[in-house]
Amino acid sequence: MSNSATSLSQAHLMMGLNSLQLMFYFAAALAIVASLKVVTGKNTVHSLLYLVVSLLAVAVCFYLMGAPFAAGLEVIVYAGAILVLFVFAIMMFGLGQDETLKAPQAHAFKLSNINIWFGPSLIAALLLAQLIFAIDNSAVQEKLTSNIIEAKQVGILLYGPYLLAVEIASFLLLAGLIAGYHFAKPEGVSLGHNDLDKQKETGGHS
Amino acid sequence: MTLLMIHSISPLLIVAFGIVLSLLLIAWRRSQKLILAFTLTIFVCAMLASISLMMNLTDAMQVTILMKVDNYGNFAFILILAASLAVGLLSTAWLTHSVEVHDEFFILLQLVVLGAGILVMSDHFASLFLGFELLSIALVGMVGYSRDSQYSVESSFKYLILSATASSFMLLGIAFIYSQSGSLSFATDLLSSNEVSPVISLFHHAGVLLFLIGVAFKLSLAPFHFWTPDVYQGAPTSVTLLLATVSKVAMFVVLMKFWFSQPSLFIQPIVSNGNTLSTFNFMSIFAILSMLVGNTLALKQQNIKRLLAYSSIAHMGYLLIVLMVLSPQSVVLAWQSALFYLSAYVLATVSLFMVLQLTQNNSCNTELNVDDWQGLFWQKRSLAMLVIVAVLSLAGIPLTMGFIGKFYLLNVAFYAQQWWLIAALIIGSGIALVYYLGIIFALFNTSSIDQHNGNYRPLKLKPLVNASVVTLVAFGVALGLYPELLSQIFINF
Repeated sequence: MSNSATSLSQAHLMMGLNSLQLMFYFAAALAIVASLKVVTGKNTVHSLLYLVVSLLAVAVCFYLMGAPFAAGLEVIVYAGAILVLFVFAIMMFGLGQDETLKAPQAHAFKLSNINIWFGPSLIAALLLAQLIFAIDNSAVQEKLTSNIIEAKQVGILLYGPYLLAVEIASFLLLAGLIAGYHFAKPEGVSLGHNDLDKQKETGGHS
Repeated sequence: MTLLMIHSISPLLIVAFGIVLSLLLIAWRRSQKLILAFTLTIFVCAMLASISLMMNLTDAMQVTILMKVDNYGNFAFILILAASLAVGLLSTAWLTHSVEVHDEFFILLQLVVLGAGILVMSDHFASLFLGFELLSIALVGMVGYSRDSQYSVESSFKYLILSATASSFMLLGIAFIYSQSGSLSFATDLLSSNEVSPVISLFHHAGVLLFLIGVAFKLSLAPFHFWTPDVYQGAPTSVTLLLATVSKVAMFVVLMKFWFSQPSLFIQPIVSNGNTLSTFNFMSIFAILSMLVGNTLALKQQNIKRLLAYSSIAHMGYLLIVLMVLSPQSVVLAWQSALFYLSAYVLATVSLFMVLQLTQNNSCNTELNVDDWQGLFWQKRSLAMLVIVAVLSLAGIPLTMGFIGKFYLLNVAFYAQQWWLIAALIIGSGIALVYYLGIIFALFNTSSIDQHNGNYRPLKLKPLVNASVVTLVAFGVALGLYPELLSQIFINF
């Protein structure tokens, strides 16, 4: 009796593991497809739509690996903040000629019009369905909650053995910031001309 | 973090602190001379700290799990700082041409040095990757620094894309290695080391290979060298010097640290006897290809920067020989050879780029060919002497540092019985003589002096510059005649 019960639970566990792996690979495949669409797309805004979906798929991957904290960070930081920055930057620079040429006509109700949002929303819907299934299915939940990596553990690691890595990462961000500033600043107007002459004099004396 | 740990990474801390202070300095007053002086001071302080550390450090010191400070890394960091001092001094000659105040250049320079320092001290894939990225990102900013020049966008974009590719290869490799070893530290063996199943060892091999491809991109080894000449040519001369010295030294030292701390290194040749996937074989192929391809492609080059780019590919190929050790006893010899060869390479490269920058300022021409150095010996003896000493050292003629370096490499190769590598080294050096001697012949050529007189202003050097040129010549000659001065330092490590 007990023997059959353990074998049953083992079979259950095996099935949970398998479905978990299947779901993981499915989400990973969605991420790859979406990323490919990002780099092959002709229109920047459409590519961004796929990029959001790709990052969401990676977040689902993290969740299915039992790291809900990393998944949350992925959604908040990448799909949230950074994508909003991207959209802002693209809107502010103004869409170039090639963007508007590739853009759909506003008044045309054709099949090609649907195509633009159909792909990303299909992938997003698939991800949502998968996530609902994962949360709803008790076997998967049991597997997922058995070894959760909490924010506390991540924090302890970051401020313990990996303290120097955090510091180095901050310098890495500084390097990116300074290099980006240098490339983005307008030609030769870092200082006014009068200021510049004064600077040269004072610089020469100091 | 104990006080002792903080003390042993003090050179890195000085550079890091210097970056923050220079940001504050910019907020206070934007002056190029001030920030230059401050940057150089920081480098000198870090160098002094490294030297004192090198004298006091008897054993390798583990600083958290991320870094391991040993004397090899310390010496490499001193080399990096010396090269960066030269870059800082040379860049002033070039930066005065433009109108802006170039604060960012010096901050990026310090960031490059910090990244290189982290690389040479790292003992963990996390710190390796962060240092690698810090080095790359800061270098991308510097490669495209002069935005008005013709190639700046092209070369910095090439460098950005290719170093991103290299780091993604490297990350995948690190992930594969982690999946088999369960730890990100360099010195970890496979999880199931006693029962190595073929699949597991295949994954580990693939991981190591992908990691090595990422490193090879940075070292511009032969199948991954295509970016090198274009980026060398497009970057400002002082930045090219930085690429040729600091980036290469740091990457090579971290490669050696990774390679020699693999516990399976010395078992590997026996286990995978006849296995073509052996990383040893791959490294030999990289080395032989780099020596032959680099030297052959350099033959027809007229542009000095492109020529030096191809010759640097060949030199990195020669250096790979030191990885071919078969027993733990020869690791020490391998380290000594590598550090000596790197010092010779850095000294020669710094000398050549110094002459390049000085003659470039004079002729107002950003694309110098070998012909532009024609008759330099009759115009300016000290510069010509510097070129001669440096070129002879790169070619490996006796009585120069390069010869002793090559001798060390041959020694390592003989111990490891790598006959193919020795053959490639000799053939490569033979080919290299053709273009190296071509440079020297050009220096003595008198035929074109009369034609050039029209657009050639006579070279006038400031006394300080002249003094540093003479010092470099003296260094080159002295270390070539008395290599014990340097090798004595390594013996105490």
